Amino acid sequence: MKIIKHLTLAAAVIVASSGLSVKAQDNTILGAGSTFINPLFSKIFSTYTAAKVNYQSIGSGGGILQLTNKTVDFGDSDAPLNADQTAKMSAPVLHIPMTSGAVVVTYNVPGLKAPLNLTGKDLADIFLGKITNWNSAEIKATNKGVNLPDLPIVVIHRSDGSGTSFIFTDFLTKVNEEWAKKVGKASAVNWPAGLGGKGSEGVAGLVKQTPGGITYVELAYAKQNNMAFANIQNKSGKFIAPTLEATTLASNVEIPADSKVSITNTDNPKGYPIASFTWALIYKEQNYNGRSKERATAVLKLLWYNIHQGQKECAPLNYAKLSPAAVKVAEKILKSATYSGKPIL
Amino acid sequence: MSIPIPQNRQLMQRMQAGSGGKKSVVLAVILTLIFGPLGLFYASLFGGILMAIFGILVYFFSVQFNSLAILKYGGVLVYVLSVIWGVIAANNANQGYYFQQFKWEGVFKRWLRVLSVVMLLLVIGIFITLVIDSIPSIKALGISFLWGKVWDPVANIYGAYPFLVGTLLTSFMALIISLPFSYAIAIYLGEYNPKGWLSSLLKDTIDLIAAVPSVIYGFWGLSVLVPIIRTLELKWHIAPYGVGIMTSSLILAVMVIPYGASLGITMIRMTPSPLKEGAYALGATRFEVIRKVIMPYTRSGLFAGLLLSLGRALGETMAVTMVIGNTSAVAHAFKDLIFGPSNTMASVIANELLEADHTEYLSALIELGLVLFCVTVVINMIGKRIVSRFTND
Repeated sequence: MKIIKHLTLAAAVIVASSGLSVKAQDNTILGAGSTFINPLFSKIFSTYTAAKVNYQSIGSGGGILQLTNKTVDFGDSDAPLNADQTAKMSAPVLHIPMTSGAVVVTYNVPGLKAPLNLTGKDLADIFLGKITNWNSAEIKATNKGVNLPDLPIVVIHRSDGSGTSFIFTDFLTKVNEEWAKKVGKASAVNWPAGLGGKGSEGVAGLVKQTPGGITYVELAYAKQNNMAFANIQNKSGKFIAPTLEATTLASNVEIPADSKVSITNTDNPKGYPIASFTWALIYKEQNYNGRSKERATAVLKLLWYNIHQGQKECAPLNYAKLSPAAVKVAEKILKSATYSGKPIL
Repeated sequence: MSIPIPQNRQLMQRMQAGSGGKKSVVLAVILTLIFGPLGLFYASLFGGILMAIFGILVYFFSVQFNSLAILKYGGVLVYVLSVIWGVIAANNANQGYYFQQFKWEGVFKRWLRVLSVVMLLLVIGIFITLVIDSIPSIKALGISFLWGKVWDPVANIYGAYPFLVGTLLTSFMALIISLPFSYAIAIYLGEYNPKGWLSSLLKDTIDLIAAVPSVIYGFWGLSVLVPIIRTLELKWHIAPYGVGIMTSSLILAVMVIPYGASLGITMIRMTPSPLKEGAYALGATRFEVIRKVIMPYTRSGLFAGLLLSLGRALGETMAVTMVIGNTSAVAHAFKDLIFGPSNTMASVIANELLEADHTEYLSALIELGLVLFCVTVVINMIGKRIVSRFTND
């Protein structure tokens, strides 16, 4: 039995050293969530000097789960909390918009010179499997004079649960009744047609290989990989090219006080219609689990920095800046956070 | 079963004669005080290695977290432990070799038992966890989960049927495709060319196939195999997706070949030569020896190899998810069933688990894991039954 004693001692060493390590990490702010915003956060946090930040890009769902378990200071999600997730949180949670992103429709149609024009309804019909050929009358109607080939459309969607899918299906749900009834919006849905690829690189790879393929990816990803993307018709009937400016404009509308708003199919006539915020999530009451007031203040100061000075990092990394309207709402929300009932900022 | 302790007089004498390793406790203390874990090597090799590893761990943690405190406290702890261990080990060494032998027999036996039981508990624990976490889904959907054809997270309707079919179809097709290759390799390297550089080169290459990470197969499949299949599909007038059941089965077949082949080679080499020589003496040709002597003798071993392959194919996730097309629609036409896109249980779980955002959805995914677990267990049990029947013949 002596060996057991030895091993117990050994285990004690490990436990002791890991306990020490947790203490050593104490002043680092912990965050987790969306992979979409990770490049931007990495850049901002590396230049932020007031505190050290450790952000794990484990996906929106994972970030929400970690915040529910109170193992991180803030989460980040590409979609606002749904009813089920809100119910699981032990206290009210604040949504603070951090940046906005656009989802672009990219395709592989040989011989095209200019970007295609697509309406939201046709796009939904393509993903429903109702429009099956690139030279169909519907697509021709919005692309006069373009020589569209007789080529079957191969629909390609994300197979993994993803914020990108949420934004895309959210848009389709708003612009096509049949889509809303049959499929709906979620980070993973029952896709009526086509193939699934894992991750942005999975769908992009499939589209590159498949003549006639069509899919959706984030604007930043499409730009970095020089992919062709379509102009999408917005609510005002204009075909808008997905640019950073058009994405920012999409969020320059009236935003409710809690900022939990879908900005797809925006009312702004110059806005690109498939856009969304990504939100940092924190508990409204910051005094939980014996956290110090300094820590709570550091977290809020970090988020304050993100929505002001941090925004200048957006454009070089292909993220759309928050619109002035969004920044105003975000400021108000941050000021509503409390420590033991008293405002922090 | 108790472990036999040598009763033989001669052996005992030899052991006692060899127990001259008296160790000085004082020296052990001095050495460990000066050199810490390294000084412990004098008293106990095992302790020295263990403590040295802890020392390295302490160093690693202190660098990783930029903390001098870890280095200080951890370092002191490692030194103190080394001294204590050194005293105990040196003292033990002086207590006589034969006494030590008896003691270690007991400890060894107990540890074997403990570790085996731990494995059993682990499997039972996994099963219980799966069952508990899938209760919400079982309650909501009942047994119809097994033949439901719709997987719709938005409407909260979940059916495992498309993925069950996808999993079984890809796995068994992969098995059938790999069968001729793994048997051919096993017979060639086991019987025709068991020695020499070519043989060991081939064998090492096949073992290497098993060591390649599956994401690399997935990547290769996506960039090389998919375009080839797509060209073939165009020629055969099938919807030219490229990805699908056939592509996944081909990738899986390559991945499982080493499992069947390696075991086959070992089994065939173990065939007793008197049996083979007897057959040759009776005028049998080489092919006849393989068919009539080696194959019957190694049947259960070869089958066990197949079983291993199947287990690997059933659970394979990454490579499959990259080339299967990931659709939950059920194919109706036969050619779509073989070539069309589909999905497997492991692949769905890997794809959707991280972003499953409501309780029923998460629970349905876990229930899918439970089904996969049960399928694997059932197939393994059938396999064991068949192996034991072949062996009894």
